Amino acid sequence: MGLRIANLTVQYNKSIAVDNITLTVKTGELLALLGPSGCGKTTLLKSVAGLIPQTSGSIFLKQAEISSWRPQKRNTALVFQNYALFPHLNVEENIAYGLRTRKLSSTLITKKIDQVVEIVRLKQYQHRQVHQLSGGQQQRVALARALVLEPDVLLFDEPLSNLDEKLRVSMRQEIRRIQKELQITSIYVTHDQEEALAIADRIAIMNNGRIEQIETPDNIYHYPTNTFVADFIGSANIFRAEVVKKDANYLEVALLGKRIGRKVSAKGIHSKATCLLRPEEISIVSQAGLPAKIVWVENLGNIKRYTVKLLTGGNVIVDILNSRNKAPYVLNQDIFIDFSADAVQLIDLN
Amino acid sequence: MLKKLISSVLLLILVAALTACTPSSAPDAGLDNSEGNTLWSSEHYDADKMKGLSLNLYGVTDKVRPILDIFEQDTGIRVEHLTMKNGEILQRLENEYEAGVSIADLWFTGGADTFINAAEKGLLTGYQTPAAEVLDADMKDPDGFWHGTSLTLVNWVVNTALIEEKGLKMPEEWNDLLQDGLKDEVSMSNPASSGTAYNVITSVLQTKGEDNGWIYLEELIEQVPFFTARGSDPKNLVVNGEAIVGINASNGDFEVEKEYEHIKIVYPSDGTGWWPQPVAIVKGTQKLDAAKVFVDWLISKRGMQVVAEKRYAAVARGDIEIPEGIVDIKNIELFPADFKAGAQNRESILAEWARRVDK
Amino acid sequence: MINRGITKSVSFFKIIYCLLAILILYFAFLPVLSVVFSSIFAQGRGISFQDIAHALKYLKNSLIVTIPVTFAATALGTVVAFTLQRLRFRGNQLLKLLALLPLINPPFVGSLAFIMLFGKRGLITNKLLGLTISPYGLAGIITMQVLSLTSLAYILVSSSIKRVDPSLEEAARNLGSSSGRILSTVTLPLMLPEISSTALLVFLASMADFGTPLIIGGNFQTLASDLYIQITGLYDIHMAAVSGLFLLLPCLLAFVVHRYYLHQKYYSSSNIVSENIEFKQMPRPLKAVLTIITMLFTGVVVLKYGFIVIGAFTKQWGYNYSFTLQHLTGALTADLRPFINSIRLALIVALVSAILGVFLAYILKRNQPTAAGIIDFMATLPAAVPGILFGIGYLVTFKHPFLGIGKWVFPDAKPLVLLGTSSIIYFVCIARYLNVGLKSGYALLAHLDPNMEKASYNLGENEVRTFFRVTLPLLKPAFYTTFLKNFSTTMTTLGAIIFLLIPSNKVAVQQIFQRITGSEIGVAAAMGVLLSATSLVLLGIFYLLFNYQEIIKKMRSRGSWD
Repeated sequence: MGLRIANLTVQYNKSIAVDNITLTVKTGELLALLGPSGCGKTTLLKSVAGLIPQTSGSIFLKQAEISSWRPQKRNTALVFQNYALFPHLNVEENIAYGLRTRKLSSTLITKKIDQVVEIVRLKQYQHRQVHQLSGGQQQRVALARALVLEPDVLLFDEPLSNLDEKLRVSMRQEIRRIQKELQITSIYVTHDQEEALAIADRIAIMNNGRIEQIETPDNIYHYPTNTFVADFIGSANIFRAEVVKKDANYLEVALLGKRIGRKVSAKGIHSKATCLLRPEEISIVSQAGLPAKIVWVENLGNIKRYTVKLLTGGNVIVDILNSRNKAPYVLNQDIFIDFSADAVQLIDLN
Repeated sequence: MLKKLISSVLLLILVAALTACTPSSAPDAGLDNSEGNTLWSSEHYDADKMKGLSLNLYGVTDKVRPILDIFEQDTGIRVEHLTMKNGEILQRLENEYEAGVSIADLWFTGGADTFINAAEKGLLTGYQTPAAEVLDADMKDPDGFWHGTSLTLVNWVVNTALIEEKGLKMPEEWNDLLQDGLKDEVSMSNPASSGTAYNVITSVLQTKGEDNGWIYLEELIEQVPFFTARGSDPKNLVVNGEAIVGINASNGDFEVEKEYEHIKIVYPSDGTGWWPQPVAIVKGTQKLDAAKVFVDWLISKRGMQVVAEKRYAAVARGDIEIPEGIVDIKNIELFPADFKAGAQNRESILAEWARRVDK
Repeated sequence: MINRGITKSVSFFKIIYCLLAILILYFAFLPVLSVVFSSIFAQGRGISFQDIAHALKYLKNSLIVTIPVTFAATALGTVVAFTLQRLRFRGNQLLKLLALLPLINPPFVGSLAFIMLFGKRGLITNKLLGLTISPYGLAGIITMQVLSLTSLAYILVSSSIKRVDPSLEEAARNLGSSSGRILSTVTLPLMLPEISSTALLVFLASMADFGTPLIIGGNFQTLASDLYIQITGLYDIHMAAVSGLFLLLPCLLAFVVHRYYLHQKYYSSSNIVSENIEFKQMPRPLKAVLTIITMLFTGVVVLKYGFIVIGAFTKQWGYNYSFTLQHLTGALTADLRPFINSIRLALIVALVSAILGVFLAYILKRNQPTAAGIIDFMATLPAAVPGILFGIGYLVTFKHPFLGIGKWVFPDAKPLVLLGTSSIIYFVCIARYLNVGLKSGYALLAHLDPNMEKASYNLGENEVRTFFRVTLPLLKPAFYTTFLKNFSTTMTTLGAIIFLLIPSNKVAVQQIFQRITGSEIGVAAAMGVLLSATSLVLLGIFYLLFNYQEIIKKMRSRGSWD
């Protein structure tokens, strides 16, 4: 087992930043902590590193409880948002910093540095001053400095947020490649859902110091359990649907003329239930659908996003693949929409 | 609104600070005006013209302020003063003379040797005030470059509390300074930088003769832990208890004694050094007549009386009643003094002194 | 159209720049040159072997004082700054305030308090501990200078501590470093550039200090105090000039070495200002040691200043501690004009030097005119020259008409001689403190987005209007800090102006200096207290004026909470 956090609470003054969180990161797994700013994700990360003291709860790393350990004893390696490279040291000295602290022999240090600069592709920059490097290169130095210690858990604190779009994409692929190659247990904090979806084995969505849901990227996208998660990841059409039938472990609702039945227990649901329908699950058809009118069109490149107004009332977002072989719909055009009942996800059940 | 208010307050402070004029220091009303004005006269005085005129004066002490205030009361001429060390005054006068600027009109108080020095360098204007006729010859320059106003007397400032505490003999004559208990407890200034100490040396050499004089001085050097830079330092050291006896110079006043209970001023019974405190007109002054009025007034009976009462000084004129709290020079043994010789041999005497100190 | 506007305003800045350059050349650079030349060629007498031997002897003394003082004050200042800014303990905020005390008081009175406390019959050494050790001499000078200069170092280092990025320390800790290793490999090395400039300023201040050796040096005098004695006691301007040259050389050397070798890199380039970031997990014994050192230091400072207040309100300092108001009334009934002069001098000098300094910084950094490096050097140079020497530079330069060069050109243009006018002390102080504004201007501009001005041009404003409407408001903080700093410095400055004062334009510090010489210790202490109180009140008023918007905001938000 990699890392286990049990009932962790962190309190600053009076406000609670991390609220009774329990989660497990398996060995070699990359868990993304995703959430809006101020949700407590960085605090959680730093308390794993021991840089922020926890109020209660425990942290286990490789079976050992490290909650009371000093940060320097924990063998966690943190990659900082602003890289936190030592400006008075050059690239090599920055990478060697943690090794020197561990009093390794200089031949061993040289060997390890040689390996790691190979991995992060910094070979020719080894003797540069930090301020002479570009943002992406600085990011690699920060990564190398952490990797070289062969940490039990690698902690990323929004590592790519200071880079531009293109670089961000290539760097995240590289981080993922290295992480998989070395099989390092990792926690990756980000507020960018695309990054989280792209890089993580599993994603934990955080809000207000709590974890809303932990799942694989696919599942968290298609099967969110509550409105917050549904809304936070991707775009969402959220409806309130009439409950038609409800048993101890069965729920059926009526949504836009369709019956949707699921085998779930829905204790919290009474007369209405919340449903999620992703915009790409809706199609525009020539007939035999729900009549609607297009009131707004956005071109997002690979898709066209239509906002349509149903004749029965209410707006729905519809995403259609933007293929050049397909004539686009235009503003104010009257259309019909349709969707499959299987595509509907019932949320906020408990 | 608030911004405006605050900026106007700031403006007000600025204006107040920039325009703040003299809070007119009220002249001392202690001396009766009407009587005082009969005791002086000056042929250069023109009350209408000189009213509101302002003179600049250099000196070595702030204590001249009350005298200057009474002068203003008597004549309407304001005198601003700036206090500096002897050497600084000399240096400044040279500088100003060279630059052709006239800042100071008058020079009042300081060591006679600096005045002699300045006169030789042509920095002073000769003026024989009629009032000076009654002065002794050694109290004035024959060419009128300076006139003595009062005497500066060498004396000892003694910390009586420490004398008692250590069971020492109260020093009375110069040899008493050599007693064992006063080792490292006698304070004296450096004769190279202080007129007081230099005067003591020349006086000792003149009265004891070259050979015996240097023998005495050598023993005295042994008693002094270090030589202070300024003539006023020994007094401060004694007041603070850092030394027991300080070789000092004063006007003949007992102010330190009055101010501090544990201090006594002692005039050595076997004689002491002295020099006059001169006044002089600076060369290049733009207000020569007013400066002459000041000298006339100062040397007059009126001026001398004011000096005696305000500075507690033993004044140059013999026809002044000695106020309470001033030493009567008739009771003091004075060493014979030859200021000119003292000024001329300065370098060789100081070299000899330095040789003995370094030994 | 916009183009034409910019060309016109560029020439406006060019004219201003030329004017400033000429003024700096005359008022900041020429006097320094004059000191050098007058000592080499003075009065037809060259520099003799004896002169050099004499100067070298005192140079040795100066260095014996200055080197340990520089190390001790810088180290102590760093310790105090680190302890107060980075560690949490009871009374932290109070100590922060108290450590600043020496900055608002003239140093002379402090030396007296020191004698009263630690002298041969001092309250602590003699009455309490039964010792009779003389405080006069080397040890006394070093102690006094360390006490007052540590405060200076504390302030300078504090500002750099606030700019250390705390995530670097977290990174080091995360990489496995203990607190001690973090301190020695990250925290201290990051502060090193600022510590080295602090050390330079401490070195210069110690070299320039003539008051302390004069009052408690005994027979141990330094170059600066010897210089003063040479002029005032020995009437030897030539020897003084030679001493001055030897005093100037190490100062210039330190200045140049620092400027061109040590000062190359600054690590705190980011905008991070981290107030009150605790240095966590400091080992208890180390924290205890640091806290005790800091408390001892502030304790001695408070003792010293408390004792000055006691001196001002008791009959006989050291002998009779019964309460009296006589010194205070003595100080108040004495001529008050020197006080008013001091305030006026400080106000105008602070105002002008802050405006010109910040403005010059703007021109040098943003417009990058020709010879910017040279002008910057000339404007900063006076900071390296001991005040008393800079004053002498003014004396020898401006005794000639027409800004000093008239000696050859207009020998008869007497009305233009600056010496002997009451304005000369304004010039000398402004020239001396201009660099403060320059420095804070640079610091601020480094953080200002240059696009701000470009945005204004884009909106159709010309350079001059942009400067007044966009840049100036943004530069205000630099102006304010310079104003406050220069105001308090000028209130207590003496060295630079002591030889330039004229009878009708005396200042308060000089009066205090005179009183101490005349052993009117009580009055001197009372005047010192009065001067400090005046500066403090005025600084408070200015601070409120400069920050009232934030203060009101703060009060409002606090009100809404309660």
